[in-house]
Amino acid sequence: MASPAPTTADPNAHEAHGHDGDGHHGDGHHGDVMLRGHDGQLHPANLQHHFISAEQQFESAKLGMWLFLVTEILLFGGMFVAYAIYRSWYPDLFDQASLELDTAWGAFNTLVLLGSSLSVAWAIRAAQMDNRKLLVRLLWLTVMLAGVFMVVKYFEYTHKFEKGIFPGQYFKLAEGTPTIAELTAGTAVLPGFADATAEGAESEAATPSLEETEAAIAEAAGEHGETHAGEKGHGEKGPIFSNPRAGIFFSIYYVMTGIHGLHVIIGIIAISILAVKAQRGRYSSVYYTPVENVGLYWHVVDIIWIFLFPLMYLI
Amino acid sequence: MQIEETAPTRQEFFTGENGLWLPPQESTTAHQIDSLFNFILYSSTILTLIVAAAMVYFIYKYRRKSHADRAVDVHESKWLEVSWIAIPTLLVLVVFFWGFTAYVNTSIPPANSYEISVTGQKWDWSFEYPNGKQTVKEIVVPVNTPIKLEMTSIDVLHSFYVPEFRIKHDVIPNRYSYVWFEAPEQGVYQVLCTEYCGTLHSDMGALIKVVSYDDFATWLASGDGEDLSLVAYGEVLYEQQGCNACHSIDGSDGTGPTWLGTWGEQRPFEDGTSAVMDAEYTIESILYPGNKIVQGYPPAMASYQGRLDERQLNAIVAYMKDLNGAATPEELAPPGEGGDTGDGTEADAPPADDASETPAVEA
Amino acid sequence: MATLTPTQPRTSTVPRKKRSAYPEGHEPVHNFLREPGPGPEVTGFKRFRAIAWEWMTTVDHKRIGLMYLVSVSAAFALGGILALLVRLELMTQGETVMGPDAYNQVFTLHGIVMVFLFIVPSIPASLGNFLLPIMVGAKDVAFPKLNLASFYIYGIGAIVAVAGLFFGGVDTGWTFYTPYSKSTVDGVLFMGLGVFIMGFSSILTGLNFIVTIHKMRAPGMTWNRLPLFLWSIYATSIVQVLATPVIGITMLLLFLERVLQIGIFDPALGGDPVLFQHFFWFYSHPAVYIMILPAFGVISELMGTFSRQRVYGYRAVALSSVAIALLGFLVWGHHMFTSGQSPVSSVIFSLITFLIGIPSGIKIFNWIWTMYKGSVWLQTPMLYALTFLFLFTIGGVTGIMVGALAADIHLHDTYFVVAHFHYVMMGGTVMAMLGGLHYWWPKMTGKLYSERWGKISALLVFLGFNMTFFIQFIMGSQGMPRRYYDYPDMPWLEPLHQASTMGSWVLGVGLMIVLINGIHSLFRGKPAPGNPWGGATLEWTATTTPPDHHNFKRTPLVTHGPYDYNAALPHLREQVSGDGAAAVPVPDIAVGVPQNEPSIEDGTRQPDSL
Repeated sequence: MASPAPTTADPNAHEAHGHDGDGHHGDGHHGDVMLRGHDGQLHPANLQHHFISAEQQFESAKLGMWLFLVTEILLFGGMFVAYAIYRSWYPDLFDQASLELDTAWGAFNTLVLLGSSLSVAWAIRAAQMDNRKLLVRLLWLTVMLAGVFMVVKYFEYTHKFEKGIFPGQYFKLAEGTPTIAELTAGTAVLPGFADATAEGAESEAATPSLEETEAAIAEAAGEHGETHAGEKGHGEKGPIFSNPRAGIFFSIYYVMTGIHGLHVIIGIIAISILAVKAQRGRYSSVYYTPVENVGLYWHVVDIIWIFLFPLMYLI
Repeated sequence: MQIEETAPTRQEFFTGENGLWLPPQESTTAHQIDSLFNFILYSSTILTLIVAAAMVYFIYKYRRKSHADRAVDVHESKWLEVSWIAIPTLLVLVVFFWGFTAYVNTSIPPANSYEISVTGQKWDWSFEYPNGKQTVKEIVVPVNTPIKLEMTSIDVLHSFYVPEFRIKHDVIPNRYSYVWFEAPEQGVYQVLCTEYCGTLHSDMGALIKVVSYDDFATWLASGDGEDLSLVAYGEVLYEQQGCNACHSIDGSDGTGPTWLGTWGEQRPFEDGTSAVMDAEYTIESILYPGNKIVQGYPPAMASYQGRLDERQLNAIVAYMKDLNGAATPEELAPPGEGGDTGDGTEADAPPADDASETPAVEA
Repeated sequence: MATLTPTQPRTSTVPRKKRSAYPEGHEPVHNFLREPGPGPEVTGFKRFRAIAWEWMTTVDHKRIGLMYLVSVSAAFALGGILALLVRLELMTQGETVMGPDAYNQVFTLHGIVMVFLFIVPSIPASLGNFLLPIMVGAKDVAFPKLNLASFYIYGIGAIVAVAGLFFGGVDTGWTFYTPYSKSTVDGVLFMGLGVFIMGFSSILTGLNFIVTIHKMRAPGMTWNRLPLFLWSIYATSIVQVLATPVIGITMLLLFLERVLQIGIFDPALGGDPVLFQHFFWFYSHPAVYIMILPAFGVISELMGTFSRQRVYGYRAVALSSVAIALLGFLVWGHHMFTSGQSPVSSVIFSLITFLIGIPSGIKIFNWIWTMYKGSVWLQTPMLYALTFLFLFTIGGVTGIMVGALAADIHLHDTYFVVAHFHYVMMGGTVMAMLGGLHYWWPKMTGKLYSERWGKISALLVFLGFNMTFFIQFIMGSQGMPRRYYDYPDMPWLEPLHQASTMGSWVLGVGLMIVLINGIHSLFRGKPAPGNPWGGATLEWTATTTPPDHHNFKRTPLVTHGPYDYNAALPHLREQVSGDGAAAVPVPDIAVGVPQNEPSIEDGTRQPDSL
């Protein structure tokens, strides 16, 4: 990705003036000063007044973008931690719940995003090679692929809403599902698991501790999951709808894919703006910092999905 | 049986037995925490004084005498830097290991601890003994016996803190946590809530009454009111269940409405409706306090659902009626003489034999 | 005296005042406060409007720094008034001036305003913004427009947060612990959202500073010549960039928790309230270093300049800032020793907590040793710096106390902790901020404040602070829990509460004097010389007072370290102190860039060291 700093003067450079220009130009101090880069070329255009050279400006922008991407990773990192913790607490719940997600569409979306990463990387190359036409086409292709991703996401969401799969409290549980308080206190069990829990309760004369109850439920849920796995294809409500904690999985699913989707939408907007500006000839091998930075952003959005897909759909 | 009703005030704590900094040590583990506290206190006081003295000395010794003063070049001294890295490092490692061992020593309860369950709820503590006896806002425990409190919350986070025992732990909904203590002296000690929990956080106290073993056994066996009239039992419950914290019986205003002069009256509610204060309304308000909020009062009361049986509810109603001169003769009569409306609960009371069993062994 | 006159007036847009006290040839030429400014033909309201618009849309880091300064000062005043109300309520048992619900809202708002609106942006966004580009020898930060955007994001976040007051208020404490924050009044939504928004401002500021320090240093400004203030701002920025996203997602989840009932933190839905605490402290403990690290930097500058001595152990001080910043990510669990995290994690967190205490201790010793064989000048900024050293030492050693596992069981969530973090935050950060403000005030405003009133205020602040908070150590170890509206079970603490409240009044008066002194100086203060304290960093040696709109006439070439006073003040020997010190404490020492140096812009040198 790292390309040598722009070194050749380009006829487009003059048109490109002002993309990041600011109010200081023409205030009589430096706006009209031609600065000399270390390569000895003059770089008047696109160079903001407070930078010494175009190289400095390019590297600053890139470092800034990388730092921003670090914050993005950490933003999602928090949610991945939440996922990991609840998965370790309720492994069987997560197993069962992930069966409700459609792996085929997920895989399709993964391919779509990988394709868009390729197209945006290629677009940067096109900018470096001053191929404006190709640049514009590739940017629009990226936008299109991102749009396909969102359309698939829309159908996935609406399908789940129809089945009553909502986050948290709004998750539509089957009739007669015990409450979490009852599960915690050990006074109720998930339907069909009476044996396992009773065993756990007997082995401990006093009230079973939380861990023991959890373990008993988890054990029972494991068996249950196996026996009911076959039912899924019939469109019946599977065992997941009898687990009062099922909402937790889908909360995490909706929050993570939702925030990821938001990033995709922001990416669509950013790349569209790039495409329009590219059409007007704003970018060239001399100045393509925004293309490079938005490209980096898009790769991160892509990478986050690469992690989300297996965690949510596959395991 | 003599049990103190309030915790003693520590008026003289400036010159108290344990000095300016710490409350009296009233548990067998308190001294471990105190010695660590005192070690850090004294070593850090010395350190702070050294820092302050060096500052004052340098300020005076090297004060600027002329604006043209220049500093003398100081070369960095290895031994100086090593010493002020090494000495504090050693000190904090000592403190760490001390804190760590004291933490382990004080946090593991002995195997033969007597267990009492504790439930935190906005804004009181309720306790349940192994024999089913329940109390609110106070527990009575035997002296010289390790007590383990199994704690949970039914609403938000609370934290169970007894300064004299140096114990504290958060109380979390849907989880169990515990603290333990062994009090070597009889006395009354204050429980405080140290995790912020809303309006009456600062009133969410309770008392731990440490009594002799015999007094404890007597107390544990008594108090179910089977030998009392409904009205008299209601009076007991009024304090035992913590009603007195919010509801007065002399007409004065508290967090909740007073019980005097309100029986049979039309009560206006926050939602604009109203109802006559009768037995049905009273019991509903005890079990579902949020249903009808009397105008001008906060919805602060916790539900007593599952904490009171039928006879206890009737007893509280009878007591309220009696306050307003409306009690029936049956309610005033001791059990056996008049009709006891709550007979069915008699069987739940533990047999008298239970009292003589040793309560301290409960695996 | 060797007069260095680097700049001649090009266009004089500023009408000279009659009673100018600038030495001949040292009149500020281009003053960022006034230029570019509307032409002289624009008058009256139009002029006012033009100037206001110019400030609101400025991308000049100095103006943005000043706007931040005004904003965080306003937040500090608001938080301070709330603090006085809290103390007033606790003065007597029972209800003194407000009921429990009002009290809970007041202390919550005090915490939120002080933490998120004041102390997190305080030094980095105001002093940092103003000084960082000048100190590295740049014309501006790397992304000036982003800088302005972060100011407005901060403003929007602050408004959203405070708007929560009109939608039920918020009574959760600044920690927003679930499940309480899920069940209580709706103001939580706004506060959470406000904190979320302000997080972006913090991230953008940090990002801007990191890039500026990495990429925009002037020729000769090697990492080893970076002023310690910048080292600490750099460390702070790392923490801001790495930690703030986590509070962002936490607040977002809390928001969704309330709006969509997602249940991730709600035990009633299978979630875990302790997880919220982990998330919250994963940000909020590093945030403590966001608050204190910049203060370390300010103190380094003050100790150096007012001792006219190289800061002892420059590398140790610089690197310990970065060490603290990184270790700071591994200690959040020490806020949760009693919360129900596993004992093993408590032990590990306790150990790392102690390790992080060591670099802080090293700094204290280094600062004190900086005075050794120096020339100590007790001006107002130095008084604040010494106050800092004393108070921060107490804050530090009490941190050891609450970091020790067993002792913390007794002290957790009591006034001991309250006193401890006020010693660190107020005794540390606020004292450093006051010291730094007094130190750079002449540079920022071009005016000198009254030294006498400055010293009086420093004394009152010192006395009032200790009176207010030292007592709270005793109350805390005696068992007074924090966030208590009343102390019905501990009536014997009333005299101590009263003393603490009275201390808060003394503190309030001291801070009022600071404010009045500052405002007075703006209108009546004597014009400040270029380098009133004899500093050796670029803002003193290479800019005018107040600085030029573009900071430097041309990019400076740095030839000596930040505390090389002999090199920076070469002509000092020729000077004799005089009684005119009150007006111009040190006769103007150096203004502007030394002549005849190679410069990038005339092509005589290459930016090879960038």
